[in-house]
Amino acid sequence: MLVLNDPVNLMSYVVMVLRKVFGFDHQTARKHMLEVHEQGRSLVWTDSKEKAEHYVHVLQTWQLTAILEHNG
Amino acid sequence: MVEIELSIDPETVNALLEMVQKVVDSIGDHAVAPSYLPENDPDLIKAWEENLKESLQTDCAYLFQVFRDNRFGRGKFKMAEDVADGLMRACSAIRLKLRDSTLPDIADSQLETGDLDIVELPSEQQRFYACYLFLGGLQSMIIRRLDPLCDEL
Repeated sequence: MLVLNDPVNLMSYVVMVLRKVFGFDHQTARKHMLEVHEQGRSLVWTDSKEKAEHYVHVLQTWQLTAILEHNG
Repeated sequence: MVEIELSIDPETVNALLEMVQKVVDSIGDHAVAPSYLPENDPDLIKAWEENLKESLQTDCAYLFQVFRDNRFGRGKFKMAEDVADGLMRACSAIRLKLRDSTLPDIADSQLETGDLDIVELPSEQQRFYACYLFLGGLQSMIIRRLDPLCDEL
């Protein structure tokens, strides 16, 4: 599952959401946020489609841009 | 509980509230367009979109509850954590809508860095950009309380 960059959401907000939703520590959440900011996307979760879809939906309620990409 | 401290005159709160109400009304029944929807399952897609819409409505209700509270903007203000979460989500949704509908000419880089002189914008855009900045500032204030490490960014 990928989180994509947007010019609106604050960097601190993205870190906070990733920490809340995935339980990441600050350093991990910050690493993903910087990938999103600098590379436009970050792979934040790899699991079954059902679980990944659940997380995409949760991130969408937080107004982040998240998509699924199939492995292989 | 989450406590923020904010001093702002009631007229400004009312002006912001009016602007926010317009934006929320313009979102209407449509949740901000989702970037991903489940494939080939109309029932799941319908449930997905309905849930996003309901979630946004609940979040906006939290925002209006806070803005209409007489204590808001008059110094220290406490709110439950679920209210703070909803308020932050609503702020993001409204900022995204403001960006799309009222600030489309501003470059992404200017929005991200804040490297933008508000007085150079047309007067109507100045009001919307001020609202955009205020909602972002409000999010920052809450994040500082909820997760101080995030504030170091």
